[in-house]
Amino acid sequence: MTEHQAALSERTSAALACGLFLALAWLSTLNADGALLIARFAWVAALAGMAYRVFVTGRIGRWRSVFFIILAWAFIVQFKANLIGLTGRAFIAQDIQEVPYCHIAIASSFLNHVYQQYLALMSGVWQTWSPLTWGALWLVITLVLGQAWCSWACFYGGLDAGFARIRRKPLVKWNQLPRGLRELPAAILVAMLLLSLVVLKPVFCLWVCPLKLGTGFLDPNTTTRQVQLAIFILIGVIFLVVLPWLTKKRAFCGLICPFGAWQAFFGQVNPYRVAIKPEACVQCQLCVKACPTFAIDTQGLKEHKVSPYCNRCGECMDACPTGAIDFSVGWKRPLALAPGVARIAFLLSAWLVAGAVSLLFVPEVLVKLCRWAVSWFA
Amino acid sequence: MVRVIVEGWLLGLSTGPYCLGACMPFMIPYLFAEGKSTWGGNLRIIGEFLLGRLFAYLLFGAMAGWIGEVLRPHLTQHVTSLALAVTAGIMLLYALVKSVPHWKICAWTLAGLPAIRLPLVLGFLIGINVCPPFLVAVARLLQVGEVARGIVFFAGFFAGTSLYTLPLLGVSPLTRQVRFQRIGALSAVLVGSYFLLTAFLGQ
Repeated sequence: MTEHQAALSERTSAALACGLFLALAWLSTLNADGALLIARFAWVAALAGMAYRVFVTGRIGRWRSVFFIILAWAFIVQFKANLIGLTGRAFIAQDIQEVPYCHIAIASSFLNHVYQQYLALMSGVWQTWSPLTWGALWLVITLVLGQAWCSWACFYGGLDAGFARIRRKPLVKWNQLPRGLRELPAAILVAMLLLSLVVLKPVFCLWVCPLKLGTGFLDPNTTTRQVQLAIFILIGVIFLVVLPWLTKKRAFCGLICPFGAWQAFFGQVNPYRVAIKPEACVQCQLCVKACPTFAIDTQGLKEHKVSPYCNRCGECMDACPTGAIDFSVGWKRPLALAPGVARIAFLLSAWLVAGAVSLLFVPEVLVKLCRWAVSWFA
Repeated sequence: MVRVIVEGWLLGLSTGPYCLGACMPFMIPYLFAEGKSTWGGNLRIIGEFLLGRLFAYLLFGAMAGWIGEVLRPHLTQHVTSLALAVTAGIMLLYALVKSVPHWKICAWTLAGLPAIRLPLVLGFLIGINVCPPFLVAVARLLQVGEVARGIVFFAGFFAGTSLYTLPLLGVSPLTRQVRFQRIGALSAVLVGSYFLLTAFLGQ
């Protein structure tokens, strides 16, 4: 493999990876001891190793994907393990299965949260103010990462990316969306916001979310439940598994996810952008093929523009033979920084935030897996 | 009579946010997709929509006053499901025409509608979709049991609830962008499909 233009020297890469290790290792010491602390250190060391490979090769895609897929599957394992611990069953009971518990649900039923906050504030019951806390957390992540959340820390994205990376080459070529479908995630977001407000329930969770297949929706005892189950299966199989596997595109993230649309809008407050240098671009279209979320299309490339749906996965940069695509910093116009500074700053932010998120469940899953393995062989 | 209209108006004012919630899924996608670049143009669309609602309310007011207790349960249940299904169906057809104009079948189905004015039709059909505030109003009227009072009561109820639809004008600046027009057309497909499905399932 030829050396990428963005590759850093071994010394610089090692220094950056060490910095990451120290920052995340400090976080790891919070509320942990014994086996969990060791697992956290081990995971942080692995993460720093992955970050080192990204810095030293200049290629983001491979090691980001490894990290991302581990994060996603660890979340699923941890979620299931917690569910069994909480309810004694692998599936959520009837009374709590309609409660939204992930960022996608929060985006699509945001107006409900605002209304609940209004009721909570008026009633003076402070225990019910928690959505504001989540809101503050989301704000911090959006300010630091913007849309990059979707390619660095979202477990849905990790599942989608996992299936998209199974094949080396796509079986079906699907490089760009019809113009009419480009705004589908935003349309889903608008529809879900309005419908959720009308029925005062998270409509995305009830009707669209394929992860519900793993919770209480395996109880199709009414026609409505059967229809919901059928929709979950269709969306899950088509958009999370089959299309990513066939096309190497993250179909759920690019076509369905309302949180992606939400971040594409609010993520504009984040200063990091993916920019195409007109003087270096040779219009080879390799970035169009490589982009897993349809954020670069032929027309956009002619104008050297990247769609707001871009979630900073770095695949286009890895594919670009001339180094024409790179990160930049600045809202309307990129700031004039020394070469590579924007890239290093973004990658450090991404590894730090995604690493901190992964610390919430990956080490615990490592501990569980080790214990299961020990008991298996004992 | 003044007391009846004030009572309707106050009920509308106190329950209006819920009415807005019921109207928004239909109005916002429509405004995104079909809205004008001027505030006046959009005010006209909302005006037509409100006029449709007013017709529906007056009709219901008269009927509720006239019918009294006799047919109440049958009326509300059947009219609600039917109106929701028809509203959703029209919305879905309209949205498909906007999203995939080359599908001739949808265009043919909707060919007569522009003459009738879609916001007016939607407003009327949403007007007879029974929401909780509307049910409260109907229940109150069934006690009154008089056609004239029914009309006056619902006129007051309409005036109270309509105030809450005025913020919908706020989407006017967005409707100038092609991007929002596409979002509007696609979200109308989703909203129409959802309501059609829930009407079919009897939710």
